[in-house]
Amino acid sequence: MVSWFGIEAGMGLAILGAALAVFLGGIGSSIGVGIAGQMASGVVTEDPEKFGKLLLLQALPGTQGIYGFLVGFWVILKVGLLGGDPATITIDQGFQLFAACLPIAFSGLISGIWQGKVSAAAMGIVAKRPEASGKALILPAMVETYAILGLLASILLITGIRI
Amino acid sequence: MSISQDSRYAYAVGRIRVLENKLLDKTKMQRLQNAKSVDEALLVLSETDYADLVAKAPNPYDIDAITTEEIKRVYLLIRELLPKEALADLFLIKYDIHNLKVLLKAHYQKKDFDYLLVDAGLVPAETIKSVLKNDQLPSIPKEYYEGVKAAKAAYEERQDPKVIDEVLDRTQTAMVADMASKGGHEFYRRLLAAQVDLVNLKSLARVKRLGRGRAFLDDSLLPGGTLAPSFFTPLYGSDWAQLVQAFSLTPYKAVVEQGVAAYLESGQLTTLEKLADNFQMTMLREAKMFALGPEPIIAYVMAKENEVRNIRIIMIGKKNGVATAEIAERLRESYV
Amino acid sequence: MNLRINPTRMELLRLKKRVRVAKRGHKLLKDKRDELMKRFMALIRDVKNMRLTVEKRLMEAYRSFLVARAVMSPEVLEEAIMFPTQQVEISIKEVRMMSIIAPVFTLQQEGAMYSYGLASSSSDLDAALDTFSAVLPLLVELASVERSLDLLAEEIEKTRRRVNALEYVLIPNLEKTVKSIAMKLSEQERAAITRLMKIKDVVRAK
Repeated sequence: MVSWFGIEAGMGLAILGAALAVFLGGIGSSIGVGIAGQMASGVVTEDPEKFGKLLLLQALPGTQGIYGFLVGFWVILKVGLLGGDPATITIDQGFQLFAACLPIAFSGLISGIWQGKVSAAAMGIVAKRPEASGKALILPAMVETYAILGLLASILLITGIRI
Repeated sequence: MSISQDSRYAYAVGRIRVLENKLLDKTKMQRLQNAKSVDEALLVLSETDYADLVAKAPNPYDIDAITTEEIKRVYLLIRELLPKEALADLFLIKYDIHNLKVLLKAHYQKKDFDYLLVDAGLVPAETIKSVLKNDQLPSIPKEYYEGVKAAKAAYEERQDPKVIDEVLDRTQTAMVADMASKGGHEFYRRLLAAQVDLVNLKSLARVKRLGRGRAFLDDSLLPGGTLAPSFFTPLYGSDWAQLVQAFSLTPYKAVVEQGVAAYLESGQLTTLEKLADNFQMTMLREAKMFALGPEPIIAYVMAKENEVRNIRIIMIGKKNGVATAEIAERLRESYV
Repeated sequence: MNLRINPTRMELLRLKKRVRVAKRGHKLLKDKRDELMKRFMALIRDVKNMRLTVEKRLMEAYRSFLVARAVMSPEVLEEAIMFPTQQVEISIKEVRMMSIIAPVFTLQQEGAMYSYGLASSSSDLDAALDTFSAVLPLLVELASVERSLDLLAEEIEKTRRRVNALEYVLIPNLEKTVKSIAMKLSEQERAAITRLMKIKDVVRAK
């Protein structure tokens, strides 16, 4: 058991990782949803009938936050913080968990922002050519791929870590 | 482009995207053009975004009132969309410059021309008027004030009213370019530079056609384009073929080639002017590639200005019985 | 109608002279009228052609102006031309032609015509001003020729009235009066002869 400044270092690193996954994913999503939401409200001001389609597009960049939260939750579960019976985490395990959180943290942040931009652009398509809404939905969904890959990598890593 | 930049324009772009759909497209323009009478044209117009204006206008035949109202509405919309931005100002400076020209010319003629003032600029027309009258120049933007001083000096030296226009046109170009740079509107800067080039090209062709002399051309050329005024001056003495040759390495190759060919055939520069405007419109269409940012908004305003002008050309043509073909010759391409 | 004149031999002689003068005047006036008519006809053909050209050129000018008006916004267009620098001066000279005094206008255009900056105006405005400037001398010339034509027409009308007055009123009247005086005189003569014969008879019967 290593302790830095009286803190249990392994557990600390694991929690830091979980926090990173949640808040970076959250930042990515909120910026993305924010941009898309502004664009959507612009479109809805002029054409309220498009609200349904736009809502879907606005929600798309929101997934990164959810993924981040999922990974964070997984880590918390893993280290047993939820049950009130925390496991003993060595500093090695702490580092492993911390690193396992990084894929979703960064892919969530970056892809969230960009997905927001692409969503906003896709809203332009919906506004101009309602008949092409289906295609417009695919474009931001492509960005989602990388958030999912990040999520997958994080989850695989976390499950792989032995405590 | 930074995130803050994106989110700053997202709402405005969203609204503009919908409004773009309401611009008159080729088919509607065609129908307007083919209308057999003013009344029929007004009917076509009533099926478009202009319906309200046509219905509310005290005299629907007064197309200038309708178009002025519409363009004012667009400027107001941009102000409302981007309250913290000087974006709308880029388009409003020209009205102040117009007012300054009117007031200076009126001043030197000692006549009242107030009915020509347009109240659409950054500074209310009344303010500009009283400022000029009482010689309290410093209370209007510095550029205006400098422009007025320069215009006055130039007029008093040469006693020729055209120098007032020329000096103030230069003020306007410099001021708009400066504002666009400060606002980071690179797209608009490029549009503006092309516009200056095309204005200079038109001036060159016009001075050549009128045979007004090199000095006249020198006075008319605006700085700030991608081609320096010194590019245009020597072309005054050359013949038209050489002129076409000189532009062959510029982006304006096609404009000059076709415009000059049409001029040599008909003696009119109408085609050249139209091609020049169409060139700008092609540049403007690049804004469609920008998903976010100020470009679509700038493009919308300019598209609207173009549309309003096309409507005016058509309606005035219809009112005066100009042949449809002749109207079509002068119509500019539309944005959508 | 007979003139109220004493039927004397003196009067007869005087009237006969007047008839002669009137007839000569009539012939002269008729010649003048024919000459005026000839000139009038020649001029009217010119004027017609000129008017057609001027009207065509004016139409062109208005059309290009209309286009300038359509391409530029009304305020900008008016601003461009609100400060004219060209001075136009018209001087009038008078020329005698037969008995009429016809005016001849000469036009002088001074100063630059293009009193606006090029950047904010359209080339259609140049074209319109060009055509207007070219049509102005023609317009003035047309005005002077049309005025001559007017005066000529008036003169023809006057001459014709005179010719007709002479031909249908004065000369027939004079001739009728001459005839009636002659008749009166011969009547008087016959009466005198009859009287003399009667007196002769009375004297002879005694």
